[in-house]
Amino acid sequence: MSTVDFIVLAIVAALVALAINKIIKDKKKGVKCSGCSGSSGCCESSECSDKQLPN
Amino acid sequence: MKIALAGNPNSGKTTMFNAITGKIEHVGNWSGVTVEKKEGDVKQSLNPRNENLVVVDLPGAYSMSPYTSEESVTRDFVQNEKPDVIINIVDSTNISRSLYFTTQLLELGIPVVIALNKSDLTDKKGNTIDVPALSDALKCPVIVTVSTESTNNGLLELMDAVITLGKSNKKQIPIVEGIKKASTKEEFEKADKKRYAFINNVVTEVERRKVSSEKQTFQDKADRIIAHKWLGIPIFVAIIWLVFSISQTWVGPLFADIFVGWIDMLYESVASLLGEEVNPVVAALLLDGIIGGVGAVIGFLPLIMVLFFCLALLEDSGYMARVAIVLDRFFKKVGLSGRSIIPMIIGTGCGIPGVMATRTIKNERQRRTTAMLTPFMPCGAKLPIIALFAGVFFNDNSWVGTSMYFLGIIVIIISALIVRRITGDYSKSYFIMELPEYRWPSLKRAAISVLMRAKAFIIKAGTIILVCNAVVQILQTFNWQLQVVAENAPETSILASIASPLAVLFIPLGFGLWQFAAAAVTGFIAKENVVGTLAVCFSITNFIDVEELALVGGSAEVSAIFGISAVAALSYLVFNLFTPPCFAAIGAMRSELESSKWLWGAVGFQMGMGYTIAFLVYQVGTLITTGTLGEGFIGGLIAVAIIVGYVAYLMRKGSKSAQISAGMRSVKV
Repeated sequence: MSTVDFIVLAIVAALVALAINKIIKDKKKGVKCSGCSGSSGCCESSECSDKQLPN
Repeated sequence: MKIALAGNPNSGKTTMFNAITGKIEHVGNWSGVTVEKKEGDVKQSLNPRNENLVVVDLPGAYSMSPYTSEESVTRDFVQNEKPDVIINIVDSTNISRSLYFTTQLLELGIPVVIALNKSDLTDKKGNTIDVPALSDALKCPVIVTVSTESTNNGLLELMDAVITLGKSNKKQIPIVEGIKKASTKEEFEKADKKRYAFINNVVTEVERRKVSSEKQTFQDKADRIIAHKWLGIPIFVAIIWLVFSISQTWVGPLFADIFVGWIDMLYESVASLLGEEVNPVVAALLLDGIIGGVGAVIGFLPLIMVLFFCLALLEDSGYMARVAIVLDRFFKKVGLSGRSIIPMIIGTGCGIPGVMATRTIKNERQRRTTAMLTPFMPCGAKLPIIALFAGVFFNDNSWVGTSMYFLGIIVIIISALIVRRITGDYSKSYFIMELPEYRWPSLKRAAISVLMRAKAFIIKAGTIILVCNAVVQILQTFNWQLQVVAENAPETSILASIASPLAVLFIPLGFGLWQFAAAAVTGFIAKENVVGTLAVCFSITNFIDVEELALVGGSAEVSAIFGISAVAALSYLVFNLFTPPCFAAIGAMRSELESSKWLWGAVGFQMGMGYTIAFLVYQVGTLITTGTLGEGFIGGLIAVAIIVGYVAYLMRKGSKSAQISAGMRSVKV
């Protein structure tokens, strides 16, 4: 394996890691499926899950 | 300040929510689009004093009574979370119907501001409403709004009234007292009588209608044809055929051509950048696994966008609500109703919101049956599979997509009949739907809706599909000893060894190859994966030929690589459409079915249904086209006989228990 191979592997690993990171983040926000339109739990955006409504 | 948006279904709450917050929530020209509350901050241009304003969009409700679960979301929020102000959206084209809910909201003591929405439609009809008189009668501010307009829409005035009222700490004066004070049915009815009398007086006083209700309008005349019990069906078929023709044959491939050109360019650039120096296994992981696999799926995006654009126009025009009316009588015969059609139409976009939309159905058995059967509609994720097989094996024939759409409806009707027999629940329900007015669909709204879907599709391709394709590429590159498999022995790979035992089960269905089995399995993670996995397994970079401006220009070549007949391809297509949906949709089913017995029953039923239909398609198709039965007929027949026999046993058991309970009821009487 040459240095270029390692660079390419690192790129692939980075792409996969970014994708997994996004899936995990979405799960935490209550989105049932990353990229499925209208599949979020509370609302589409990230705002509502951790937002406290003012009393 | 917490502001609730409440009003009748299809009064324009979500459109107003989007206009106030700048968000892009899904809207539709029919009732029941919103089933969950949604929150957002008021945008800067409507909040010049920079107040802390949070708006909550609630599902539509006709009353504060707990008739359906989406009404209970509204009732619970308004009663328990005590918003500071309620914006009651009143459809100005039909105030007599809207004011029932308004009078109930006025009883809660929470300040109410009325947004007299859709006032442009009222003006168009030549009707007038005396706004100051209405405000006096209801003892609350009334603001005229047109939330579909970007300027002069009354929203600034509305927010101003909301902030002023919210800060004044004034308690709303009730008009009729029934919600809080009435405790018995008689008291509620008495209050309702007062309520209706009050509404009649107010409407007579404030509204001047140009067109009397006895006269037939253009809408009525159009509905006599479009929603006709017999004419409505061929019209529906023709419209769906037109949608599939535009998206998959006429317009879609034009955009696909440009799009695939970019993907090709990316592939070629990366390939030339890597050159000969890079290890072929590593290069293949990036080129075939990630760029090729994801590119194969994304290549279908333009076709999907055109299809959803057409469907968004239909939805916005008010046509899809008529479809529910046309299909209602068929659904009624199998124990469902037109209400079940709404989740199914929503499910054409994505199965998850489709399944979630079933919560508007009051009857438990109907709700569960609908949640279980909604995934049979070809969702957006299944469209690349349809487009691929239509292109490769059926010369881009738009009838493939159209027939899959209607086959989905037929399978739903048959399945509903079976489920009704199994459950032994023969209860009937009636479907009453307020038909939205026909209108010219907004190109802007359709474009926004399509862009949202496209964004979602790209996110999915860049996350779930990318990870799956990378894993598939690795699994098919190595054997269990973690050595690279020989070029002429792909069947020794880890992927092949996992998928091959499953492939045996698919021999009677015509696609007993490990590649198809692997693709079907990854399809449970996301249905688009079927296309991506086939691309990776067969090393086809993209399915769309740029040179020939066709969905799959080299269809003969691709079908030769696939190594199956057109009938087997059709069988594979129906197998993927009618077996269980992706895991995310199964998760949504679990939430809505609220029973593990129903969930596992549903998944088993879908698996059996997909297998049986694929078997019939392949064996009957092969018999017609070649004169002999297909491979593995006996084995498949035994499997299908077991499935059918078990379902028949359950149906008999269900019928018996229904007879027993009917007998017990008659004895009691």
